[in-house]
Amino acid sequence: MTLTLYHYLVLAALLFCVGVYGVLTSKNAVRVLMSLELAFAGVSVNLVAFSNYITPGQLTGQMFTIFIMTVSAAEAGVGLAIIFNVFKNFQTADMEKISTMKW
Amino acid sequence: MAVDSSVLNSLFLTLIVFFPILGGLVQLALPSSSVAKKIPHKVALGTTFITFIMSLILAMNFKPSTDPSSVFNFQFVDKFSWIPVLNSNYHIAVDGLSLPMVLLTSLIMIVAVLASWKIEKMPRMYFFLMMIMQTAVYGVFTSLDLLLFFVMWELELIPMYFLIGIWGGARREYAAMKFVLYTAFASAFMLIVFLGIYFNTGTFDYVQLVQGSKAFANLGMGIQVLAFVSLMICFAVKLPMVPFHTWLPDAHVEAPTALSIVLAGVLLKMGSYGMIRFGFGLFPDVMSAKNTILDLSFWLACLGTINIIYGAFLALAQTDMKRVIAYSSVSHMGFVLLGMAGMNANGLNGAILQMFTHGTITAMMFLFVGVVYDRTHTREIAKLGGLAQQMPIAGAFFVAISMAGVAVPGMNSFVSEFLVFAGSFQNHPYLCALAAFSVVIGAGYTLWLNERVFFGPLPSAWRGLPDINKIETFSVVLLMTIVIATGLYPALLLDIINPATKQIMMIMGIPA
Amino acid sequence: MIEFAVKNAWLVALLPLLSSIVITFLTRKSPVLSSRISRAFIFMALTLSSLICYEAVNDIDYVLQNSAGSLRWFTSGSFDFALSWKVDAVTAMMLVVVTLISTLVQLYSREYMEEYIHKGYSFSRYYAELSLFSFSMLLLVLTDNFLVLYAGWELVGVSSFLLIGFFFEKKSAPYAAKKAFLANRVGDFGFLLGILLIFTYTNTLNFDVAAAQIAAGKMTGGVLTLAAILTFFGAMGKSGQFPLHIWLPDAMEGPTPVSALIHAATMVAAGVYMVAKIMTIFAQATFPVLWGFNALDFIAAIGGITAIMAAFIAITQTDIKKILAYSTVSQLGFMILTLGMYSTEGGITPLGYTAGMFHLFTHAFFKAMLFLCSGSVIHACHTQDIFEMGGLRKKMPVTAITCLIGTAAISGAPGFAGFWSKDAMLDAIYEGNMFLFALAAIGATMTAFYMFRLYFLTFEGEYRGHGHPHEPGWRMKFPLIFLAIPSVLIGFVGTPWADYFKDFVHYTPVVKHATEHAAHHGPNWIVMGCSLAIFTVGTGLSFALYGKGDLSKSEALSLKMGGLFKASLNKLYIDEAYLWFIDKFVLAFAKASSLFDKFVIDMIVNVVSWACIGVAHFAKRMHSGNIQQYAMGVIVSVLLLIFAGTNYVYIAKQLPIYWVWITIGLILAVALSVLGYFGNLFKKILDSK
Repeated sequence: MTLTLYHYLVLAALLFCVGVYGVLTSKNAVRVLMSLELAFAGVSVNLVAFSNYITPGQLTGQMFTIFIMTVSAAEAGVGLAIIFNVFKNFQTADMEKISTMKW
Repeated sequence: MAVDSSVLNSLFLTLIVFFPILGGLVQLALPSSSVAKKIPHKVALGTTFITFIMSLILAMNFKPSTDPSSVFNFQFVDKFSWIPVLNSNYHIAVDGLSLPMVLLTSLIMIVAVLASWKIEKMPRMYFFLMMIMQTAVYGVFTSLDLLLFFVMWELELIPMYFLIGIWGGARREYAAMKFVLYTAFASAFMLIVFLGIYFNTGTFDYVQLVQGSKAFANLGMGIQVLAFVSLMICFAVKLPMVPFHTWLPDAHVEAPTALSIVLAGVLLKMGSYGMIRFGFGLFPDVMSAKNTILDLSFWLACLGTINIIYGAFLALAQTDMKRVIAYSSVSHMGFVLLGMAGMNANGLNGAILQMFTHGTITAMMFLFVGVVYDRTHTREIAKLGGLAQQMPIAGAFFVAISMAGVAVPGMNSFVSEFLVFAGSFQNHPYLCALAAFSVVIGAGYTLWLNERVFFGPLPSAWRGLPDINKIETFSVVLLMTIVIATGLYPALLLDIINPATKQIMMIMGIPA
Repeated sequence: MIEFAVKNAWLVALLPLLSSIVITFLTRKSPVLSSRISRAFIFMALTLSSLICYEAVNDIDYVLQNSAGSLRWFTSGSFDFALSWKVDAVTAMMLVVVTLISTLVQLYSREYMEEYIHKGYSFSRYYAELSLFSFSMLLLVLTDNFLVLYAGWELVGVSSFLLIGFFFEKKSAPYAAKKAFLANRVGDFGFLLGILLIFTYTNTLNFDVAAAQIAAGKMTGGVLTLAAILTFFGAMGKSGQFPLHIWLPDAMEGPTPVSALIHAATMVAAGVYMVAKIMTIFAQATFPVLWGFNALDFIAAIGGITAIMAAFIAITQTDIKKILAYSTVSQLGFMILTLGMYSTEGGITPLGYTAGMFHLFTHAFFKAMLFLCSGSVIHACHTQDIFEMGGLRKKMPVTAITCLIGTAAISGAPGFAGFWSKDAMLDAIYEGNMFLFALAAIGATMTAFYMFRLYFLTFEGEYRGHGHPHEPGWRMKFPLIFLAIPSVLIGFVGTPWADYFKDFVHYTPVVKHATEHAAHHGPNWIVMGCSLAIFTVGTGLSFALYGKGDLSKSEALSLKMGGLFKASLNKLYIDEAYLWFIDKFVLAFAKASSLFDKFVIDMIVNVVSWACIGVAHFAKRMHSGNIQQYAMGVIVSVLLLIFAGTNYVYIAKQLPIYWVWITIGLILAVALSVLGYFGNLFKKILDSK
C-alpha cells in the first residue's frame, strides 16, 4: 500500500477536527490556544500534500507552511500575552467565565 | 395682483417650496442673545407670512382649466434632471387639486408660528424644524415625481419626530416614536409600490405614467389591486383611517398646540391628497367597474363610514378636551374617504373641499384647546366650565368654531359635507345614510364640549383668567374669515377644484 | 315702490343680516344704538314684505312672474348649485307674519331685556342674534330650492340655539340649547336624506321642477313615499312633533320674547310651512309603505298624536311658559294633522292644506301675543309658576285683557281668529277621517280647558305671590295691544262664507293644479256645532274648577285621577325615556368604543411593537459573550454551506465505497456533537437572566 493524497488529506482532516474540537470544548484558554495550533498543523499538512500533488517540482505549499509556522509562533506569543492579561483581570483562564463582551 | 406669467413660471414654485428652509437657516444663524427679544419668532413669522403672500400670488395667477379634453392642468412647472441613473426628475407643479392644499399649508403655518409665540425652549431649533416641515409639506403637495414625493414624504417625518419628542407633553417620547414608526412602516408600502412602478415602466414621472404606460397594466388587474391597496394603506395611516388611527390621539395629546394645529390642519391632508393624486391617478381602473375582483369603491365607502361614525362615538366618550378634537378629526377625515368613494363630481369635490375646510376648522379648535390649556393648565373637561364668563370673546369665538365644526350653513364645512353626502348617496345610499347620522352625533360631542367647557356656572378656581390675547385673536379671526368667506361663496375654491375634479374623473374614465 | 319690493324680494332677508353684521362688527359696544339699528332694519323689512304681500293679494301673477331670482352659489361637476328665491302666496303671507312679529318682539324686548343689561348681559349680542334669526327665517321662507331651504333650516336652528342659551352662565340654559339643537338635528338627518333622495332621482333642487319631475314619473312608489316621510322628519324636528317635541318646552329657558318669536310664531311653524310648500310632492307619495300608510297618512298620524299628547301634558303644568310651549306643540300638531288631510283624489278640495295654513297664520298672532303676555307677567312677578300668581287682572288690566283675548282666540271662542281657523281644520279632518276628527275634537276641548286654566289661575282670584306686580311700559304694552287686533279680527278673512284666505293661498303654483276645479265648499254646520260645543265644554269645565281662582277643587280632582295626573305632570316620561336611551345606549356605546379603541385596536399596535422588542430580547441572548460559542456558530455555518454545496453523487462515483462510510461516520459524529453542544447552549440561555 502506497501513500496517496487521500491518506494525507484524512490525516489533515483528523488533525484539523481534533484541533477544532479542542478549540470548542476546552475550558482553559491555554488549551484553546494549543488546539488552535493543532488545527494549524492540519492545514499545513494539507498545504504540503496538495503542493506535492499538484505542483510536484515546486515548493509553493511548503513555503506557505513555513510562513504559517512563523506566524503561528508569533500569534501564540500574542495569544499567550492576551491570556495572561485576561488572567490578571479575571483571576481565571476559564473560557466560560470570560464572557463579559455581550449585550 | 396679476404678474406676467412667464416671470412667475420659472422657479416661482420652487422659491415657495424652499423659502421656508431659507428662513429657517437664517434664524438658526441668529445669535443666542436674540432669543430673549423673540427675534427667531419674528423671523419665522416673517418667513411664513412671505410664503403665504407668495402662495396667494400663485393662486391669483393660476388659471383653472378651460380645456375639456385635457387631463392635466399643471402650472408653474419646474422640471430638472435630478437622478439621471434612476430617470428621476425634480418635477414640481400645481393644479386645482394641489393649489388649495398649498394655500392651506401657507395659512396654517402662520397660525402655527403664532401659536408657538410662547416657546422658550430652544426656539431657533424649534422654528428651524418647523420650516423644514413646511418645505417638506409643500414638496409633498407639489411633487410630480414619485421618488421626489417619497423623499418629501419622509422628510416631513424627521422634524415632526423632534418637535413632538422635544417640545411635547409628558409622554412625548412614546407619542413621537409611535408617530414616526407607524408612518415610516406605512411608507415602506409606498416605496415598494413606487419601485415596482419604476421597474415596470421605467419612469417615476407622474405625467408620463398617467398619459403613457399605465402602471402594472401588463400584469393584470390582480397586481394593480394589490399595488393600489398597498398604496392606500400607506396613505390611510396618515389620513388616519380606522383601524390605523391610534397614533393620532397620542400624537395630538402630547404635541404642543402649534404642532397639533399643523398635524390636524395640514399633515393629515397629505394622506388624502396622496390617495386622490396617486391612488386614483396611477391606478385609474382599480376603482372603476373594470375591476371585477373587488368592489373597492364600496369598501372605501365602508371604511369612510366607519371612520365617521366610530370617530364620532369615540369623541363622545373622551374626557380630555384635546382627545375630543383629535377623534373628531378622525370622524371628519372619514368624510374625505366617503366623498372619494362616491366616484362622481360631487363626491370628489366634497372630499377635496373637506380637506381644506377640516384644515381650517380643526386648526381653530386646537388653537382654542391651547388657549384654554395655557390659562387653566388642564385639559380635563370635568374640571372646566363657565369659562365664557371669564373669557367672553374666547367663548363667542368658540361657539362660532363649534358651529363651523358641526357644519352649519355659512361655514365652508356645510358645503363640503353636503357635497360629500350628495356624491356618496348616489353610489352608496345606505352607507351614506348611516354616515349622515353623524350630523347628530357630531353636533352632540361638539356642543357638549362647548357646554361643559365654556357654559354653565364658573368654578371659583377659574376666576381671573385673562381673555384671549391679540395674537390668538388675530389667528382665529384670520381662519374664521377664510372659513366664512369660503362658506358664503364656496365658488372661490370650487372654481379651482372643480376643473381638477373633472380631470381626475376623466383619467378614471367616469362620465361627468 | 311696490315694483321695487317685488323685484328685490331678497332684500327682505338681507336687511336683518346686514343689521346683524353691523351690530357685531361696529356697534357692539353701544347696546342702545344696536337695538335701534336692529329695529330700524327689521322695520324696513316689514315695510318691504307688506308691499310684497299687498301686491300678492292684488295681483299674484305679477308677483309670481317678477319675484323670482337666482345666483350661482357654486358649481360641482356641471351642476350649478344656486341661491334662488321666489315669492308665491304662502311665502308672501309668511314674510309678513315673520317680519311683523319680529318687529313687535324687537320693540318689546327693548324694555323686557333692560333689566338683564344691568346684570351685565350684552344687549348687542341679543339683537344681533335676533336679527340673525330673522335673516335665517326669511331665507328659509323666500327660497325655492331645497339646498337653500336646508341652509335656512339649519341657520334658524343655530340662532335658536344661540338665543335659548342666551343666559349662558346658568346650567339649564345651555343644556336646553344643546337639547334643542340635537333634537332638531335628528329631524334634519331625515330631512337631509329626503333631500338627497329627491336630488338623486330628479337631479334638481328646485321645488317646482322636482314636483314636475316626480309628476312625470322620475320617482315613484316606495322611494317617493320614503323620501316624503324622510323630508317630513325635518318638519317633525323643527315643529316639535312627537317624538321630537322634547326640545320645545325646554327651549323656554331662553328670554320670553325669544320664545314668542321663535318658539311660538315663526321658527316652529317652519316645519308646517315646509310641508305646505312642497305639498305636491307629499301628495304624490301615495304608495303605502308601512302598515298601508302613505306619506300623508304618516303626517296625519304624527300630527294627531302630537296634538292630543301635548294637550294632555299641558293640563297639569304649572310653569306659565311650559303650558304655552305645550300648547304650541299641540297646535302645531293640529296643523300637521290637517295638512295630512290634503288629498287630490276624488275631487275633494285640498281643504287640509288651506286650513292648516290658515291656522298657522292666525296662531302666529295670538300665540305670540300670549307669550308676550306671559313675558309681561313674568316681568312683573319674577316667577313663572302660575300657582304663585293669581288676581293679576286688577293690577295689570291691559295684560289681562289681551291675555283673555288670546285665550279666547286659541280656545276657539266664536268670532275670534282661532275659531275660524280651528273650524276650518276640523272641517278638513271631518272630511278626511272620523277617528282623527274625534281625536282632534278631544284635543281642542283640552286646549280650551288648559288655556282658561292658565288664564283663571293667573289673572283671577287672589294674588298668591309675594311681589308687587305692576303693568309694564308702553314698549311692552304696544305689541300686546297691536297683536290683540288680529287675534280678534284676522279670522274674518277666512270664514266659510267668504274664504278670501283660501282663494289667496290656493294660488300657490304647487297646489294650483289640484285646486283649479275645486268646488266652493261652504260652511259645514255639523262641524261648526262641534266647534261651539268644544269651546263651551272646555271653558265650562275650566271655569267650574278654577273660575274662582281657588285650587281646592282641582287638587281634590288631581288626587282622584292619580296615575293619569302623574303621567301628565311628568310629561309622559318621554324625557326620561330619552335620557335613559342616551345614557344606556348612546353613551354606553361610546364608552364601549373608547375601551375597544384603547384595549383592542391600540393594543394590537402596541403588541406588534412589544413583539419586536420581545424577539429582540430573546435573540440578544444568543450573543452570550462566550467566544467558543461564536466559533461553533462559524464552523457549523461553514459546514452547512459545504454540505449544501457538495455534489454527493459525483463524489460517490469518484471514491471507493469505504470512504463514503467514513465520511458518513464523520458527519454523524459532527452532527451529534453539534446537537449536544446546542442542547447545552440552550440550557445556558434559559438559565441566564
